[in-house]
Amino acid sequence: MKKVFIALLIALAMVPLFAGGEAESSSSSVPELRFAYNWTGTATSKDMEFESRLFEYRDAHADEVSLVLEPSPDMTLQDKIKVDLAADDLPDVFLYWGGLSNIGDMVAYGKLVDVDTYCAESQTLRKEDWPASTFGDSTVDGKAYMFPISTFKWFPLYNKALFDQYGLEIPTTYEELKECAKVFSENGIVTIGVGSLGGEYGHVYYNEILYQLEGGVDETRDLNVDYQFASDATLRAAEYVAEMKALGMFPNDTIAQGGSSQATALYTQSKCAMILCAPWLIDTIDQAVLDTSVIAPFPKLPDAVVDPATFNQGSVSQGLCISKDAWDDPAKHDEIIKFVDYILSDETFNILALTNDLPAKNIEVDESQLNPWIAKSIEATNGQETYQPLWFLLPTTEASTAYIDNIDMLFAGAVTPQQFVDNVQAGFDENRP
Amino acid sequence: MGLKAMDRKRYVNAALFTFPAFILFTVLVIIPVFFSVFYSLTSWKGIGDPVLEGLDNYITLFKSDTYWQIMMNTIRMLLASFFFQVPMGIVLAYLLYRKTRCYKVFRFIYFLPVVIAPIAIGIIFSILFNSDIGPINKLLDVIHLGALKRNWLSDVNVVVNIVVLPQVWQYVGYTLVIVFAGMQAIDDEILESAEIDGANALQMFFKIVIPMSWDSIVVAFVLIISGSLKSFDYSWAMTKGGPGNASAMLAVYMYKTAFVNNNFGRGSAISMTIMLFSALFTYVFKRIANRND
Repeated sequence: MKKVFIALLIALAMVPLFAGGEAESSSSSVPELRFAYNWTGTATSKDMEFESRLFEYRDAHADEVSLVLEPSPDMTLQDKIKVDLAADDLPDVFLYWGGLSNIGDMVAYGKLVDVDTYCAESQTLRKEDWPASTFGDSTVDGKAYMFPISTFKWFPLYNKALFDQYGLEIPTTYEELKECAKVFSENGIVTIGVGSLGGEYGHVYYNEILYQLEGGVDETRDLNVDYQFASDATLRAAEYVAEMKALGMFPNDTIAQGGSSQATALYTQSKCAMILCAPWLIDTIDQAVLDTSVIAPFPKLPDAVVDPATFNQGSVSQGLCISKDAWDDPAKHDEIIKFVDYILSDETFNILALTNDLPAKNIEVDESQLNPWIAKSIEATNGQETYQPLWFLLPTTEASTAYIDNIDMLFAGAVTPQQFVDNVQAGFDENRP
Repeated sequence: MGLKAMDRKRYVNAALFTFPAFILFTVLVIIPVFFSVFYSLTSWKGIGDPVLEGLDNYITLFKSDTYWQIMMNTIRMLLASFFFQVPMGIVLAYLLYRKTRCYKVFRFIYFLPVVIAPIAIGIIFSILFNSDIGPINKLLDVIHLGALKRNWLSDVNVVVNIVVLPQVWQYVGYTLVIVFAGMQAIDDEILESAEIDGANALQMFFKIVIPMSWDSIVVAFVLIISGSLKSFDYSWAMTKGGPGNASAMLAVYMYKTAFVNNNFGRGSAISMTIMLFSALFTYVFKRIANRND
């Protein structure tokens, strides 16, 4: 009898294991609001400031709403959202990435609230508070489904001190770049600190070349409609990458040196002469090296039809989405509006601007308080055309995987330029509707 | 009658005590496996309703060159573990077993890597083998073997060998502990008799220690089979399976298919093949091992 009693006790003890989450929410009298985000931790001032805004709201409104914060650092947020979606348990509000390959299915299955619907009930937000172009990534059939939060523009950054040390000028043409590469290689310095691991950031560099070439921009804007990747321009750009690799312009190990932290580590150690930089990378470069750095256009290719001084690559990096199921829940509806209005207030965007981000919303910022390098990058890219990287224009996740896998292979020298183009096109063709 | 009643009571008690574990195992393992089997027969993007497609996912996989290329990578990891991890584990276990001084300290040291997160070990190895800034190429230069230098993580011909290294290194201690436990079960008198009869250390190792601890060695092999087939961390942390799929393992392919490409149906099919090949390899290995026994 004693044993039976113990067994029953063990079985009873397991009950909360299966019902733990439910017990808490059912006993609570205030609605629960789940927010998933990836700007978390102490790695950057932006992450800290953004998260502290969330903590403030959670504590200040604890009597009205139970705000459940669900942080997932970096790209792991994407996995989290996909798992939640598969379990039909999408967070009520969440940060996410734009582009059809990211939100297309959620929109098709009616999982997201569109921006107009939200703004019609918001106390403070209007769609006009954002530049119309920032909704491009998240617009499906004329409706936008994501509030843009953060934007970026890439800009070439040169270590002027290194160029001076070897008596070189910042290259303006491809021929000059080759001359510089020869001198740097002889002295054990990487000319261009770009590798490619999971496409990062080889894809930006590939685009920097592609967009100078004839058809490089025009023929790639409709990739998600015509599924046509292979062209003279995409092949020629790949040939340039292969040639630059052969000339020793890149790190030897493009996989090991792929990613931003590796690139900025080389740059910070003055082991590479130039990188393509984005706002979020500024924090990771040593101030002493920044002091001797300059922003200048990418060298012009011999067959360029678009001057690299006239364009940059940029887009909305992340935005905020609202779950339609939560929006339709009367218990959550008003709390969602209060919370989203708070998160998308000018105050939040000001904080982002002061922590090395380029806010997507139209706000007035005291430029004297900006990081000088953010101010310089804004100045350098103002007045230029901004083209979205190809990655943002890909129609399906499979096409995206084919593209980034083959960018890695191209930079590693594992495929020829023709194989690169053929392989990526095959990835598009596989899912052509 | 009395005995039967006692047996019945014992069975009831046993059933009651195993019931919680049975429930947990069913909920956390059995049911998800059945779900995976179901999803593997569907086309499902992780949203909406899955659409039954029969064996399409399996047929597509088995016709795919990529799948077999990645399977070969995984088998390479399995073979590396078989031929390096197990022999090293056995030899180290034997050295400790022969009453090495402070054997507990050595056992602890050898086991230490096992408790480190594989993802952290993957990152450490990716720094070691970084041909631009890592120490391996510099070391080769110092010892005048510069001709052996490679771009270890970018060269499609060598990268998979580098990705299997950390697994072998990390789990040698695991094999050691398992085999060592088997060796400790050997009666000292047997070895003492052999010694008196003039057997040397090698003879005792091959004729007595290995045969008598064979069961624990088989356990180590079986664990290696399942561990290698589901290996994910090193490949993902070091190269994300790249360049392309040159260093991808089946679990990385499953992750990319399901969570990157949103093809949960095919991702489930890959996970089922991991399970099936794991069972098949284990069965074949145990048949061979038992025959040798």
